[in-house]
Amino acid sequence: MLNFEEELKKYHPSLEVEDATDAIYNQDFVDMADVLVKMVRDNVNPKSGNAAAMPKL
Amino acid sequence: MLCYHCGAVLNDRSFCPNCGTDVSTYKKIIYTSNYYYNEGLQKAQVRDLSGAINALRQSIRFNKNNVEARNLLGLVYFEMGEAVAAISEWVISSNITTDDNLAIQYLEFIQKNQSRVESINQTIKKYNQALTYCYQGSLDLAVIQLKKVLSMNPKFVRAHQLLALLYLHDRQLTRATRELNKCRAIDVNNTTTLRYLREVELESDPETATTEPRHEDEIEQDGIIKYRNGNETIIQPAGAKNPSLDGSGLTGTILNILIGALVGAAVIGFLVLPARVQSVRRDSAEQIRVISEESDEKTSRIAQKDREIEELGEQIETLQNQLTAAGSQGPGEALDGAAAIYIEDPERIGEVAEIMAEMDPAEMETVSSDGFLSLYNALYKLARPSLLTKYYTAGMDAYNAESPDYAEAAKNLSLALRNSFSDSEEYLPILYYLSSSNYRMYVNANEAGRNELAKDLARARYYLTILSQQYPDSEYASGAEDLLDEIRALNIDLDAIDISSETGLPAGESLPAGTEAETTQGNGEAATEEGAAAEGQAAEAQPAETQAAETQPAPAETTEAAQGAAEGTAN
Repeated sequence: MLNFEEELKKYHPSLEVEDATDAIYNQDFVDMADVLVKMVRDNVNPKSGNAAAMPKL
Repeated sequence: MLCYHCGAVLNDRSFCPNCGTDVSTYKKIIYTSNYYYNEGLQKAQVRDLSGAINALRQSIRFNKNNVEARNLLGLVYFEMGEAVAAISEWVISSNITTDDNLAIQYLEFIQKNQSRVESINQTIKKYNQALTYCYQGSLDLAVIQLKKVLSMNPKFVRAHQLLALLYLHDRQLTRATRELNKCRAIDVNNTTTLRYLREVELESDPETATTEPRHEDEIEQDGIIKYRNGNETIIQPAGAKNPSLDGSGLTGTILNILIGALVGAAVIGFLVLPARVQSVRRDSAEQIRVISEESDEKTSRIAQKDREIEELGEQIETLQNQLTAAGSQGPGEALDGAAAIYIEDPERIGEVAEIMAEMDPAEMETVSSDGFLSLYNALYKLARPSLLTKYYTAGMDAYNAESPDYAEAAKNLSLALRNSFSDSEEYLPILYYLSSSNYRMYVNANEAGRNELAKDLARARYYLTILSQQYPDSEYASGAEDLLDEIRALNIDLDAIDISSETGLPAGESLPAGTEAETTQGNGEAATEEGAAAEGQAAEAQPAETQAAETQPAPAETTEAAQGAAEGTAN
């Protein structure tokens, strides 16, 4: 049996056209390639980076 | 594929040909991204849009610069009604590269159709409003809003799903199924859609619905159960039992049957029965009317029969009287008796006259036998003088009595006149004394009596005129003149009284012509001349009458004579 209230929580407002710009800028553009590049650079020059600077997946 | 370190074009080797960087892992990441793109493309081709979205998002997560994946992801979003998400993907894609990028075409297409963009924007706003209604509990308004959204954008899968969820919540399974089928037509493998369809199947299957579904927000406290059903808050006692689930189902069913029976009885009592009673009364009234008509008809027939019986009774009585009269003494027997008396002794003609006087003249008319009439005429001819003598004597005795009875005298003298002849010795005295009796009766009578005696007075004047004009030399002429003067002195209009049909004279006598002349002209000399002429006529008529009396009389004359005899008998 569906729980209507819980099911309703799964629905979110759709982005309107005016909000498209914000949605684009707020999008997470870090991909696996970026992670790999970062890891490689950290291995080559461990002092130049730290874990906190690592982009969030 | 470019080296992530120096940007040189990579070959098949695991190292960059320009800088020697190990790109094997980088290549695997790119290949994985391409793999997901291919998977997403395959799913999109079979309209598994949800699966395509997942694969394409994975593809972009491995390689954010995968333009094809972004473009396809935007296209899938657009197909599912998520226009803003699609535009976002296409904008990002167009910023990555502009060379042979389909995203630029898509964006140009949208920019050329501003009305389409506006319509999409309105659709999204309405969807968001419907979602707000859902959060606020205004589910009816949400349904209405969602229907508007879907009329503008039929491919909006999330709107279909939300509407189906609302229908499911309201247990409108058919409508929910219809919406979910529309979802499947757009996105065949949407998890949410499939889950809702499964829920519809569970709700539709009675075997699975063995227990009453409880409301999620149902709260039981202080002996009551409170929950929301759409826009309504239901509060019911916690002890309330469902008759279909607990042990009181049979009792409830019986109670419902009894209530139904009572309601049915009430309907029959208040609606059906009065109509039936009215119908029966109408039929009864019709029967009564028919019976009444038959009764009236029978009553009329009975009355008619009674009248017929009464008439028949009268006829029977008449016939019996005739039979009795015929049995006792009919005219034939009386005449036979008179004839027998005369044959035995002709001197007893007086007795013959008595018998003939008692004979009813009406009976004479009923007898048509020629022999009977001949015998009657013969006997009457013999008895007539005796009848004349009898009535004349009686009349004169009454007239000459110490206390004269003029009425009796008039009756007898009238009968004597009937049975007389104009050449009889008693003829002139009869005329005079009969006139005198009539005159004195008139003079002595009161007003009413005079009216009744007016005809007798007119007859008296007629007789006196005969005496005066036809017999001027007789001893009664002067007396007749005196009486005429006295009658004239009464100033009575006797000319208006017609006595021509009942003069009272014997058969053969007629009205003197002088009488008419006198009454019309009032001239005595002329009347005298006319009377002389009439005397000649009467003299001529007299032998004829005498001859008729001596020979076979006509039946009419016989009847007249019989009437005279009968009147004498009655007196």
